Amino acid sequence: MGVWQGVTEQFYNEEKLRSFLFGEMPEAERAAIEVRFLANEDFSEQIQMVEGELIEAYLRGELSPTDHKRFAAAFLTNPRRLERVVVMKGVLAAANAAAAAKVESSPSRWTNLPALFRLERGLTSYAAAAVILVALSFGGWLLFKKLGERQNAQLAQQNGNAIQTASPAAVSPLPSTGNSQPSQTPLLAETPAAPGPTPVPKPPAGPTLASIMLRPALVRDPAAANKLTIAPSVTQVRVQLNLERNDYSSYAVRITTVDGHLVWQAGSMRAGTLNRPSITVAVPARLLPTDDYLVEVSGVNAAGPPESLANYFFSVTRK
Amino acid sequence: MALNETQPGIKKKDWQLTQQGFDQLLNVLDPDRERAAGQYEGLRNRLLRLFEWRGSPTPEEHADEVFNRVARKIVEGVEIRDINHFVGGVARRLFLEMLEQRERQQKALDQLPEPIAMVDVTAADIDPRLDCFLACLNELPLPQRRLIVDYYSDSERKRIEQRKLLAAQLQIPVNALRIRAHRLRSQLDKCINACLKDDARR
Repeated sequence: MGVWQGVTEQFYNEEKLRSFLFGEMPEAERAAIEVRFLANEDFSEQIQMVEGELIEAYLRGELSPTDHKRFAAAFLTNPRRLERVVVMKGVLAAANAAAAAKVESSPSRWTNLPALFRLERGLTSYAAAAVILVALSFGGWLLFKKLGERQNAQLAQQNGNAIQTASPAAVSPLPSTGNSQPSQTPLLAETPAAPGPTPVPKPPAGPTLASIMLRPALVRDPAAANKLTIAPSVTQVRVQLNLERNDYSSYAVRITTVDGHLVWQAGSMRAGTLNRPSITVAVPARLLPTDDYLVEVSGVNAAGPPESLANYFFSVTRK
Repeated sequence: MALNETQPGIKKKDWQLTQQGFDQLLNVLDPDRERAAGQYEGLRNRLLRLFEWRGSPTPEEHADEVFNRVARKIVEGVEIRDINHFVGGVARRLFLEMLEQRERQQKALDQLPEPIAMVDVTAADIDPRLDCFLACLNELPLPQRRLIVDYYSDSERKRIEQRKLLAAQLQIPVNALRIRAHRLRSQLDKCINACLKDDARR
């Protein structure tokens, strides 16, 4: 893939590319473009970019009436192209949802820890939301293992069915976010307050979102265990759980205090796989007072009961 | 090597791609096997898109047929100077056959062309899948995610102005920003399609 910077003057006439994409070009010219499309990677990228922008313009209602008709005839009658339109619409919707979350949670960052460290601003301003990523001592690990075994039994006993069959809203204490925001998705937007005339007390100023990234329990110093400091303004905690592999069709996540009290659970979660397998859950901050917490991830395949896969540990301190 | 040396008595239309034919095809793409595999993949993806643009209902079948034909020519000993142009020529021949076949079918059926069914994209097409869109967006590293969000989210500014501003912030030309956003979106599309396929399988 060529570096585009510096070759912008080589952009092909985009009006011609639109004609090509609308299927309106004379056959000889079309054939020439097709051969160039096959042979030249930069050119092929440009056509596909223009196609994406056409779709975007259509979805934003920015096409002229004539182009709208041309677009409809070329794109909305072909299942594959129609699928591209649907995917672009989803990208726009997701970008807007993310932008809305960013505005609501500003100046906090709806991101994982490494990303937090990459921010252009100084880390100090995010110290309250940051997490120190170190794991447990051997003693802590033993405690953790023991409790994990107990939870496995509990999970299998109580919830083998519930996790697989209940709707996400039923198994998660997360408030429903409506059709456009499935509750099992790593949430980008903070859940809106319930509508009603009752005046809602103004929330404390500050970040509304805190993030923590956890790896399966490692043997390290417990004094520096995964710590999350939650400011009073935080309403949602995003927990990213890194997995070793992604071998299951879905996953169940269960958060308990170290003494076994169930805090939050969810089923039917899917692991993200772009960089590495991971699950991100959004937990209402009010459910996480100062305490030590265990997270257990179980893998679920259609055929069998959940299998305990990984355990994580973190401690919360309330400001 | 002639066709009848490898598959004697087999008609062109029945010719099947052999391992030897495929190896020779890869060798023409690049003598280095790994690079050749990458080129094959890239070329196949572009062929898929071409057949999609030509209205093929089965671009995968057509793309594979192009490679079959090209491999057959290579096995027959045809010298290929520029593989991309050669593939383009074979693809074009196949387009024409596709069109002829369509015309024949229409005549045989003595039917008028079917009215074009236009389908609009409604919110209902998106909502059940928004979890995939959001999950895939979340998987992007932060700088890329921010770029996608800033690039595609609605703004009070006009879109062109918004993107000029974004390009200025990133200190790159607008066209470079467009291509950067396109590459990220392609990455996102792949993730979304894989996610949607996973959903469909369940």
